[in-house]
Amino acid sequence: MLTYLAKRLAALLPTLLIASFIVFIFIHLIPGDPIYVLLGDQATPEQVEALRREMGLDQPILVQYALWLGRVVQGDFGTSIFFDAPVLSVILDGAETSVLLASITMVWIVVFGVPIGIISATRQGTWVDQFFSGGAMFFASVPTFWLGLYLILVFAAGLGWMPSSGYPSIFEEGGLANLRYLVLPSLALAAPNAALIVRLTRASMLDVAREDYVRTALAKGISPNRVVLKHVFRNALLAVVSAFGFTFVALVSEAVVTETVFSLPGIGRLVVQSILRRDYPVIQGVMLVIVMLYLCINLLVDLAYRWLDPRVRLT
Amino acid sequence: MLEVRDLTVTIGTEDGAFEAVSEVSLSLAPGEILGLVGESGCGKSITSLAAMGLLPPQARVSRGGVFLDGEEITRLPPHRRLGQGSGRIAMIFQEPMTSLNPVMRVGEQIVEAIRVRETVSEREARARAVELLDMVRIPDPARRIDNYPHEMSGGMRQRAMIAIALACRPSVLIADEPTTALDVTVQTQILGLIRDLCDSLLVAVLYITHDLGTVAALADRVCVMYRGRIVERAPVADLFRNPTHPYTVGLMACLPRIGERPETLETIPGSAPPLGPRVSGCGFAPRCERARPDCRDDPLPWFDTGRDHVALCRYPMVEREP
Repeated sequence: MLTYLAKRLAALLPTLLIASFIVFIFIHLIPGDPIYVLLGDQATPEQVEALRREMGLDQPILVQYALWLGRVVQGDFGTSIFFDAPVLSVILDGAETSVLLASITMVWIVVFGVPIGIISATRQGTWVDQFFSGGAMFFASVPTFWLGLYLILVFAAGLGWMPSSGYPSIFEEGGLANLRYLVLPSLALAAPNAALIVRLTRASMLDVAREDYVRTALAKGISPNRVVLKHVFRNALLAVVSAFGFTFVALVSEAVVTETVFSLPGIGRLVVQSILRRDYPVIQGVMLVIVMLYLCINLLVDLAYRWLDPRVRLT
Repeated sequence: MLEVRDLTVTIGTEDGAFEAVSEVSLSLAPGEILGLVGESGCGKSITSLAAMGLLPPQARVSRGGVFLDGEEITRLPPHRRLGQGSGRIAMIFQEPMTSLNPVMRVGEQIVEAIRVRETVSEREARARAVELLDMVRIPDPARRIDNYPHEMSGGMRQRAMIAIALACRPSVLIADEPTTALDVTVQTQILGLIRDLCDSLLVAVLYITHDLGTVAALADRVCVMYRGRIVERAPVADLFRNPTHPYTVGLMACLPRIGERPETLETIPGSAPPLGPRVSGCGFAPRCERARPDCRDDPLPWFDTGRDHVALCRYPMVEREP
């Protein structure tokens, strides 16, 4: 197990290297120049040249990459062009919001997605199944921003149960109660993903229910409900667990929209704004962090898979 | 013991409801192996699932029933049969590769079967599971009990399946082509095991197969099924000596014999019909060389040879001179 883990961790390095290279190159392909963003249109060519040299942007791109990579390895992600602050601290500022948003969203996805999928599958064809399957279809199709706006309209503007936007840190005044600022955004973000998990859980449960070993379990005289939990669900979980890797990707991209709709100071909004500002160091830093997170999540999914499915342990 | 009386099973399809099994009757005595033979789709598996209470949702018993020690259990699924005293039916299936849960240890799956019926501690159940694995001749059972199914060979898995079936101390064991997916040498071992268990535990076995060779080696009595009906019923020796229904005769002619090398392999002309509306008279008539117009008339007579051997045929192959 430990050697497996070591091997997997070692395999992360080349992936990270390739990903960082692609990220770096692509960002520099975006038209536009950070120098003009900083200095404005009135800057003289001399000023522009001077700043360009100061920031190292006059070097060939491969040299820039090598220099950047050398610093990243030492834990230095560079300095934000726009904020004039270390990239790492800029990212960490947004991390609290994003990590909490993602965690609460994952809780919704698991708490709603999996049980509703199981209920739908066990009541296949009944009105209960049709209700939940129809609902899942609806939420899977609705755009996040639309759902977000309606949640604000109904629960914030209309009923006044929840705040409509922003997020003060839980370390500031209000403490954990500030989490209520994340309820609506996390629901908007969870809805389409939970809907996909509902559909996947249902389909996977129905697939497994046709397996011969389920019939064997029933033949033993075990009650159907127990068979569903002990035999069907355990095997159906394999497909669902592997979907959580994809869900994470969806969360990252949809969080950009959600954070914008709810004006949350998270990493998603930071990326969008940094791209508009051509703040290369910040975009590169965030991308690298996201790639790393993605690789870690996939590693966790694989580990969970090995734990759930003894057949995988051989390889 | 187990008695199936006039069992008729209807299956709903997109084209309507058809009888997959019609008026099947059979009975089993302790320590006896009854072979149920027929081609694919003749209804033998549906018959066994009906006896087990595991019919798929689109199938239902429309007439007749299943009785265990005189008690009707037709509409009881297995988990509702737990209170049926000594009357226990267990089943082993065709595919040992897919009939065991891949993510549970074999021991757990046996323990589960034991604890469904008996209130024993985990440790006692485990000890019994080891005994059961030993009984089905799995070497080193104390170690094998912690194996996952994928760590076992096909024959080993089928033995484990038999151990699960024996866990409920069954009085009736239904075996649905348990050796079809196995190597020939392993087949022979499994058949020997079933015979021994039947003799030593006095279990009644309903053995379902399409293979006459297996039946000849294993069964005490045989029922031949065609198109949802039992067409011939006989003690095994008499069936092979004097096949009486033209279908059985055709089946036997299809068996190649060692030492002879025929120009072509014998076949029955035509093919077994798919599930469809019930035809009047004999279902085999369209493929039968001996058929005459009145073979299409109901009801067909049972021809009795007088040797506990009957055939559902108007013009049976009568006994040849010895």
